[in-house]
Amino acid sequence: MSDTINTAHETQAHVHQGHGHEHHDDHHHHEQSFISKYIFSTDHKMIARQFLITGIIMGFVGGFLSVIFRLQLAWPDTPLPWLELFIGKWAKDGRMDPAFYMAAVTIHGTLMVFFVLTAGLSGTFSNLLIPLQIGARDMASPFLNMLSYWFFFISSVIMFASLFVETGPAGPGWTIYPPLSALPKSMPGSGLGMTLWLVSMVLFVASSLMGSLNYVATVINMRTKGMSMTRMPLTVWAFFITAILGILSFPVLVSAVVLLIFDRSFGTSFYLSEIYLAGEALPNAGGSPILFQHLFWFLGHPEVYIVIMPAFGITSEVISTNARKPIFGYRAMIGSLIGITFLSLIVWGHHMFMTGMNPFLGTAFMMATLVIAVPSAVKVFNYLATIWKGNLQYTVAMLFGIGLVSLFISGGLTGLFLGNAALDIELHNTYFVVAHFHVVMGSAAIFGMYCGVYHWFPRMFGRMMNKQLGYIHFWLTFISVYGVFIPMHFLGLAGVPRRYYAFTQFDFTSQWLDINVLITIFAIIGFLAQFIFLYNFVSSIFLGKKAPQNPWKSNSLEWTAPVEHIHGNWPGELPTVYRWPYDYSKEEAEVDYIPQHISDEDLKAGRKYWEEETLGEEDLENSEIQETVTHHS
Amino acid sequence: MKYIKVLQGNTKWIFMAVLIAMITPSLVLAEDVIGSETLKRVSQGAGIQDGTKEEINSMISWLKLLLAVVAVLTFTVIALVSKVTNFQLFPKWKSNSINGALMPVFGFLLLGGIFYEFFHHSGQYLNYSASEHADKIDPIFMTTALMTGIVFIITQVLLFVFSYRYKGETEDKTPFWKKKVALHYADNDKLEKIWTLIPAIGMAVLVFWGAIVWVGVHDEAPKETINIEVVAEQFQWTVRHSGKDNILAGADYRKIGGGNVLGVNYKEKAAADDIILAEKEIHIPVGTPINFQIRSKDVLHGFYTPQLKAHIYAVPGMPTHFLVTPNKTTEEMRKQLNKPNFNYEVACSQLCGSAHYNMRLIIVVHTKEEYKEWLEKQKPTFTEEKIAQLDEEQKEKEKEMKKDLSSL
Ligand code: HEM
Ligand SMILES: [Cu+2]
Ligand SMILES: [Cu+2]
Repeated sequence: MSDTINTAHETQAHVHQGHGHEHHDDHHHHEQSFISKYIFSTDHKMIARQFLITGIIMGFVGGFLSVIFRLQLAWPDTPLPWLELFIGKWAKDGRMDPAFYMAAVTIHGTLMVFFVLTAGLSGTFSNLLIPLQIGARDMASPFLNMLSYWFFFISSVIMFASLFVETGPAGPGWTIYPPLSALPKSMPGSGLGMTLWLVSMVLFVASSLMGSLNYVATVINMRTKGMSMTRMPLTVWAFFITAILGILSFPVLVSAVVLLIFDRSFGTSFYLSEIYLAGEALPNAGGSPILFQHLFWFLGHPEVYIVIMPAFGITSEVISTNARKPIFGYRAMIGSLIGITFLSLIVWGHHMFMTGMNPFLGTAFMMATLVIAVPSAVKVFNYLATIWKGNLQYTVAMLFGIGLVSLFISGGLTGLFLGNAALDIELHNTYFVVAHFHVVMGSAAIFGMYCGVYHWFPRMFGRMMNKQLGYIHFWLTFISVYGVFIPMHFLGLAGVPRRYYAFTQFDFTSQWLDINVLITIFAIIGFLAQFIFLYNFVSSIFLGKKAPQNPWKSNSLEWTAPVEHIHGNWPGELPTVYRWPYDYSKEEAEVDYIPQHISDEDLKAGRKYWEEETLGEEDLENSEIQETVTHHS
Repeated sequence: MKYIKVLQGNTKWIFMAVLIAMITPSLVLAEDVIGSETLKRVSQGAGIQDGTKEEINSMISWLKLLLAVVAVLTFTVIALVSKVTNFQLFPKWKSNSINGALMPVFGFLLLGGIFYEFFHHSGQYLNYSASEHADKIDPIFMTTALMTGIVFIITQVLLFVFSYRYKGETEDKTPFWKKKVALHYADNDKLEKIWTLIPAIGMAVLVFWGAIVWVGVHDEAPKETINIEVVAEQFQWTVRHSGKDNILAGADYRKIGGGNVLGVNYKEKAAADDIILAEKEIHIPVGTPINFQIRSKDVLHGFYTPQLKAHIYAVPGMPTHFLVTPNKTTEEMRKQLNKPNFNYEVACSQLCGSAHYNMRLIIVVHTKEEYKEWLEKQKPTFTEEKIAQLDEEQKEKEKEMKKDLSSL
């Protein structure tokens, strides 16, 4: 035992002794109630699980909506009687109402961007990993952290409830441009549904701010001994920088939304001017709808990086671990994150080239936009260099990590077309934009999220996920993602506008009807594949094989905490850190990894920090059989 | 216990049997529903009589059943595969090699698919341009496509090839972490500098070229333009031609209503020859700069024509404009594309409500002579009669307003 450092056994022993070190061990003596443990929990690991599960539920709702509107696009002239089953009066006789189509698109976008990829991704992994990877007992303010989740929860409930409003949920698109979103008479989706959307978003931003402030405070103040900033895993760097970016940009969304609420309900004219609607000239004058777009995209563009940077962090860590190689260009990776953050605050105008804003502004925004592609490219090259001459271990997480790199290349490159104002003349608001952001944000970030879920599931739930199902899930998803979005680029090049209920009204759009069927079929396959994940996820929480201490033989600190969650993360003292997290395949060690808490003396003394028996040899994936078998015999 | 062992011994067969058991009834059910006479009748647009409604209802219940069956069976299969059986698509010691090998296969299909598609459908989006600035944009597009295409191929090929080439060897059944075969290589500042610089240069080229063309598109309108106003509203466009004087009279949204659909200041001198077109068509001559003046009555819309590459929002309270010089007539384009029914179409590009997808407007590009002929034939909108009528309406309006005020 004496030459074993922090293995499962030892930590277990500490748990059972459970006294002497710190007050955190207390809870072994008196059990927490169900409510304080699972519901109003202040433990970051539980809050992470809450974020993840809420995010997954919202993801399925959003995915379901997308399948519904894809059906409409593929078969605009065929009544689908069974649609009535799902959406009732919005599909009388199996024909979808155009207003519902818009609402479905809007809610799909909102759920995916904010509730799944912002809260579900940042919320889950920042919460889980920041304290565990920097060696802290919990967040700087566990209470604020709990509030952050419950604000998010209320916001999700309101957004979900808006689906059942008489006039339907919000319909002006996830970007809610006024005047459409300001004038209830302009479309059904601008009524009560829109009000709920706005209220929900204000709560959402509050939640996001509480979370972000907490992440920043925790990273700055609560690192364990030896954990200098330059020894932090890239995950923590990414969450840290993302949180700063969120703090800088999300409040602007609130201001945009509050002004919109004023215009809707209190007769102001921030965004309204010279409008003649439904046979009536409105009294509003002097406002500008373009002002809203400036405010919205001041958040909106950083938002896309708020979504993708945590995914970068996660994949950096996972790819390095599974390539058994240090991440290439650690400093360049951090540098590009910082560069992206700075630049992403000054490129918002590239969403507004066609609004009639001063063409000189367009030129300025175009320059900033194409500059942002440089740090993005640097990241890609570093990923490639990381897997070069590696010893790639294809865990499911690794596959999703590689998938992310592929998707980010594809989507980043199409950004160069859009960022060029001259080319944007033909591409703006077409399916090319839809394809671009679904590949680079939608798919890549979702891949990052899956990457994280498969990698840290053992840390989150103490059990392993089934690998076989994971592989099937990955390949079906990878194929269908490209199958759905590659063809959309070509629709966009031909000028097919986005947010169209049917392609039947124009000659230049109707020639693409057959491609739409293909896209929809891929979309359905992709959606069904997610059920494999769902099944795997849920069943593994209860039936998965018990996770070993360090299933992927990774270096970072979270794998030294006991598998059974305890409040305070480590029994006894917090681990001390002696090195950066990427010491893979180094000469001086006996095995191909040196965890952060191993000192040079430990190495020289030849101490063993790995568990011989549990890892690698056994079938991790056949967990359930073994359990059943032993049970019966 | 015994049963489980038996199951484990014959997993593949069981797997197949369940699959077949699942697929057959689903197919039969699906066939019933899809092939049903009712559905055919309904989809062919025949009216729904009372009888058919019942049939549809029964069909819906069949479909519920179908969905339930498929759902249940799918999960059974998944459960069977993962839990009871030992069947592994990716056997433990081979999962690296299988996944690693699938990577380049996938990459090959991906690249192949993209290139096939790019050329296969190229007729539907390349060589499409029909205006002077569009001809300047096209080379930028092709250059960007070429540059990004090269980067795309190189990086994706490297990614998929590395994924295959460096996949961990596991068939010797030694745990990966006991073999130190990866290269510990963490940094190279020179490389970082190179791959920061190269994209930066590429971007600079594209930005400056793009900026030049972009600024060109927004140059001051030359003197010899034709001014045409296009006003968007939910859910149509209305076109006002400036007539012989080439000046559009001013407009005021408070005057919209009744016979004055665009709220034109019809008493202005310039209004006398303005023509508000009855059809949803714009007529313009080839080779002449056209200044489209765009307004919106209600919400945001987008004035967008793919071939002429004109694109600008219609913003309430902020008139916008876009200058286009078409260089191919509709007839020429029909010949070039070999589509006798081709028309330049204007679509709405910015979401404006439920019928956003249905705001069609046609642009007819004439030769200069044809255009002159066409213009001769048009009658100005604000004739004396019309003005009298509008004045009358205006008076009525004022009266009503007074009534409203006094009733307060
Ligand atoms: C490589 C650098 C990138 C460049 C140069 C770029 C450029 C652009 C431009 C110019 C647009 C506006 C297109 C238009 O509306 O006409 C756009 C749209 C968008 N981009 Fe990017 N982009 C890049 C990377 C990303 C990344 C990394 C993400 C997300 C993770 C992202 C997400 C989006 C989204 C969501 C939209 C559409 C928003 C909407 O209109 O609904 N982009 N991009
Ligand atoms: Cu952007
Ligand atoms: Cu529209």
